[in-house]
Amino acid sequence: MIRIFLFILVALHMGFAQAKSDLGQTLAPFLQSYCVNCHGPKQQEGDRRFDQLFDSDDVISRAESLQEILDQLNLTAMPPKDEVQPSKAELKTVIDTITNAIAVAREDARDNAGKVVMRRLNRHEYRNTVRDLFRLKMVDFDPTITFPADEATDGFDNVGEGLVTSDYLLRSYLDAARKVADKVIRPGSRPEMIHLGSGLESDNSGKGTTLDSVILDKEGRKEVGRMFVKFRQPLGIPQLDKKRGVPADGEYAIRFSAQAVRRKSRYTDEDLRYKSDEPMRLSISIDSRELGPSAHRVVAEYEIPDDQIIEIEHRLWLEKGFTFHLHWANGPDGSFKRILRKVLPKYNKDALYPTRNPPEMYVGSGPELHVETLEINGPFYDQWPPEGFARFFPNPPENPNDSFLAESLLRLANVAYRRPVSQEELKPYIDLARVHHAENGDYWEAVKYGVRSILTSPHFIYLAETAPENPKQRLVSDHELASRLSYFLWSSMPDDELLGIAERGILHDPAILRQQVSRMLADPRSLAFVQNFTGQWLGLRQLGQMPPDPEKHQSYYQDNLEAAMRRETEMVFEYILHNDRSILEFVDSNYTFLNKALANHYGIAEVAHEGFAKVFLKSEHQRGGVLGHGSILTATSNGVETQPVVRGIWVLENLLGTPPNAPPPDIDPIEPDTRGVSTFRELMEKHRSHPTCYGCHRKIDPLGLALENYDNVGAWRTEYGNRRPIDPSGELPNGTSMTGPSGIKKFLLSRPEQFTRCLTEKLYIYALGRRLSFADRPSIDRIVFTMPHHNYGFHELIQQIVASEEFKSK
Amino acid sequence: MKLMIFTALICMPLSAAKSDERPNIVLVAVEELGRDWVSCYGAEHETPNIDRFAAEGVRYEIAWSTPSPQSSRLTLLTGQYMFRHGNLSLSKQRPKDREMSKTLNVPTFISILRDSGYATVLSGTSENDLLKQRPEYLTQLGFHEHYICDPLRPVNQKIDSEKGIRQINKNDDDDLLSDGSDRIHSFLIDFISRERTDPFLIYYPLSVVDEFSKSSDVSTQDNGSHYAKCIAELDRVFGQFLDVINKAKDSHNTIVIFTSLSGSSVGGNLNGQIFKHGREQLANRGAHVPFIVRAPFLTKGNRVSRDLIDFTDLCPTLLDLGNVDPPTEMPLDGKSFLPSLGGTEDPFLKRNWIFSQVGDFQMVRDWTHLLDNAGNFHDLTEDPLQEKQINPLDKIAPGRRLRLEMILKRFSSQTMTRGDVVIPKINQGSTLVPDDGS
Repeated sequence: MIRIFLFILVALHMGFAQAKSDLGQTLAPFLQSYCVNCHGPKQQEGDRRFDQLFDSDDVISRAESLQEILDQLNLTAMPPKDEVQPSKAELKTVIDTITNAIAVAREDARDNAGKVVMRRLNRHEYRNTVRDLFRLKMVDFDPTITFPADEATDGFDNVGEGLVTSDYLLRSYLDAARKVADKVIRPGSRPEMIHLGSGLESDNSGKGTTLDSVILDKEGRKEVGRMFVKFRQPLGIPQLDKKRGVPADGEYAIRFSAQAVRRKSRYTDEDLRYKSDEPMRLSISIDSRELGPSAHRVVAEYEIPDDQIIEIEHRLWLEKGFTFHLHWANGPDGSFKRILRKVLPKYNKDALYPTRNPPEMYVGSGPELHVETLEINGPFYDQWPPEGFARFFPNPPENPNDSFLAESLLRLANVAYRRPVSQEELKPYIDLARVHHAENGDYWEAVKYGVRSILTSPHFIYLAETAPENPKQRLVSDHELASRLSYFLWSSMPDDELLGIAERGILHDPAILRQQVSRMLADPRSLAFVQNFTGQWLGLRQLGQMPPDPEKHQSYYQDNLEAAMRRETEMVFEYILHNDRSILEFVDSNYTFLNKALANHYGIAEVAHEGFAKVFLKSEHQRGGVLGHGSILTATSNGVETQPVVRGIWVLENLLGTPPNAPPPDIDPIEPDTRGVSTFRELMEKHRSHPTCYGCHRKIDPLGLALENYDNVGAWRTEYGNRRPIDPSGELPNGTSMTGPSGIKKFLLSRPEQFTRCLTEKLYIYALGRRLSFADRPSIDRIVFTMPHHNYGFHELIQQIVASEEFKSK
Repeated sequence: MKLMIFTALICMPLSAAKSDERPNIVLVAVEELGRDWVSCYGAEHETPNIDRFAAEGVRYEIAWSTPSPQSSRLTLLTGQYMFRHGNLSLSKQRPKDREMSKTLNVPTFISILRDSGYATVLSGTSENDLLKQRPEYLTQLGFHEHYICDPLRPVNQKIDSEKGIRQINKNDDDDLLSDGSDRIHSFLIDFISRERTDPFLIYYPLSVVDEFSKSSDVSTQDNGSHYAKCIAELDRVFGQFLDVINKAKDSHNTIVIFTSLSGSSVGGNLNGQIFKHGREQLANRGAHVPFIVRAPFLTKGNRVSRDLIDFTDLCPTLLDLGNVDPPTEMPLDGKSFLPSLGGTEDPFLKRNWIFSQVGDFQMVRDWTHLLDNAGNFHDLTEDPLQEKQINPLDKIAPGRRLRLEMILKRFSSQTMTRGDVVIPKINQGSTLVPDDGS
């Protein structure tokens, strides 16, 4: 412990000394020759004086002056044109030196080692915590929907410094707590089952006749009891649509029978905008009239056989007020009106172009998806009252009393605060509920009120760690460690087992901690780690922000490639994590996970399975490693074309861990126009001609250009749209020449410690929820040093991070 | 092709007793009965027997005869539109002897089926005085036998001037006092139960109001109560008649078609609205008639169809059932509706318009809209009595009108004068236009 502290001190000191001596040697003569004439003892133009810059020890004020000098030099605003100008080489050295010195000073100022981290739950964490606290199915219920987006700091949105709290967020917390309390507090008997369906209705109507020609209006459909999913129009149960959804939360069973009719018809696929080669698919969506299109979500898809009735039962969770619809997922695209107006006259001489011909002239001749019966039953419950309610309010007495209220709220707070809570501490909250009961008389409303007050308590919203009484005692408590662990791996609260171990005070035992990490990673909740970490480390969250042109990239939308790409990267991540594979497989590997659509997109023909499965790659596939993932290649493009500079920065930042500095203020961040290679060359010229640009772009551009073989949606190409060949070769700053993605991979694999360090640092930030300072450096160094002995195993890396001093101490 | 398959199906052996397996045909044609008096079509007036029959068969929502029963009858017999068969009369006067003989010179579906082996019989209300006076015309029309008697009314002295009727019943003196329906049904029971190798065809014409009311023109002034009584009697008689048919040995292999030759002569109440009388009215209600088909060997029934049917379709359908081709000198304007009975007919082969004509008046409609050659255009779903103008904001109507104009134009080029003008065959149904090889 002491040794580490000493090491830090030495490192600190060395850092300063290094920076200072470098600065002094380079900068003092430079300032003397070019600046002090105007900004010196004689004149202080613009109120600036640089001759005394190295006299004081005030790091912060000096850093500010240095920043100003740097800006001016970058802008080539100083020295003025009519004064003596420094040479380019001289200028470059000075700029580099100042840039480094500022970076060091900045780290210095940022140091927060040993401070108590008070961090609020971000939106994901809040949502997951509510889910696990009350065992809710958070499928379509999202109390955090109005929360503002969380600011990312150092690339991650769970970093305490960035998680500010606003008035708006506070009001959102109050609102969310009310919604959650309403959802959870469900005293009383099990809700009544509903049993609705089209077939049933026609039986009740008593008419008993069915209509063979289709009546196209909705009433007709209802009467007929035999339905068509017309084009991509949704088909639902009218009673549900009218009544505004199901009457209670719960699991519902949807049963329907359907058949595909005339998959191949006399109409050509082009006329119908339809693919007759593939089997018809029927999808089920969840919708809410109240929430509108934002709630629409496709939950399942079924293949419907030709001319043969198939019966399907699908179980799904519906929140109160939600309903469901069936869709013909791959039905003819475009409007029915268009068929009647434009297509029918091509085939039928009695149809008139371009008027809206009677629908009866079409219906029955084209491809149709028939839904013969459709019904819904439910809600079903595994237990009643629901677990989330029974957990804290078990066996409510006939005449609920205040003592039950107090006991229940205490039970809740003990879990919700993720630590033991005394009756004393909770008294104000219980009193609040009691007063509410006394004033309003409604017992369960008062309970809700108490629940709301607990959910809006800072002890719930903040991951508060108590300040150590003894400054030397920096270890977190067992409960705090449990929370750190669970928010790292699950983005949620500790479960009962973890809390139990914390209760017994043995979580700090390395063997138990290790066993818990393994258990938690194997738990499905670790998906939150996979999604949140890959989403931010690899920038997958950017995917979809600038989607490609729907006209040019139809399959991107039709086959839902965006989701498939994201899933690919997540699955590779999961595979490496759960199998303790080498993290270098992120850089290069001979496998990936693909479904049919994505394999098609990648030009890998031999994949036949619809769902995702592991696919072995050959060298001619030009994939392997995250650099070949469509997700990253699409996320780093602007929807129209590739952005080599953005891709280059992405590699530097996320794989090499050496993000370049922001561009100087006088250059607009223009993307090179890669449609004409000559234009791009000109831009490269500009980089070279300007020393400040060149400094960074000689690192950025070769990496970005080497990925030019992947287009803006990640498909492989060998030439641009204008038939100009792609030249993916380049020279790295260290002088090695390389070509294409394989060149970058070779380069990265030649220095595994750099990638390991980059990933370790990212994991550290994410695990600790705070920025790194150079005080954390020794632990990172040690982990990077030991990783080769563990074959770079990812699982082991997580274990090492959890076992490190930083993770366990404040 | 499809028709051939159907025909092949029909010809499959159903009863071992008969050597000829073609189905028996029963055609019930009421003289003037609109949908506004039939409860299965939404009328207030209860017709339990017709409704029961409809539940066993296919009920067509949209079927057109012509507004004039006389004209409808000729279209029914010949399978031709009015401009082709030449009887353009709208008046109530009976055809003259000369005109009748001209009509009888063309083949009818009855004579064709008789020649192909069907045992044909006419039993029911007298078609008109002329047929009563010149029963040899009935033979010319194609009937082996006939038994003319009004089953809706008691047999009385006035009607009982049945000259030349071949009495099957030996003890006809006893029957003189009995009910008309009893007499006619006992005749039919005898006819049906005869041992025969060939299928039979029964043409059963009925008249809602009797000869006297018709000639004295009471019907149009009737407040409806008399008419309603007549309809109730008609329904009862039809029920009895069905019982007779159902007793036949091979009733399963029998197709029964129930329809009417024109709209009602007294307005009823349809879908909760007062309906105007339709007979001889130049409007949809004049020609829009009940049309119910029961064919157990083709469909299990209990269905309502919105397929379009007009009266020229009856002749091709019945010839189709009899598995005979029409003679070349008999151009048919309609198409067989047998494929439609199954409920899955290809919309390309279905009718997408129906046509009706009385005198110079022509009208055509699709499932919703009607256009006549006087330029009247109406949305019949909104406005069944054609009293309102189309809403100028209606976006669909103008296109529908253009299409109906296109169809109507095909007829307007036909000569409207009566006579033996050779008229080109109207293309019926739609045919597939091969489009760039698809």
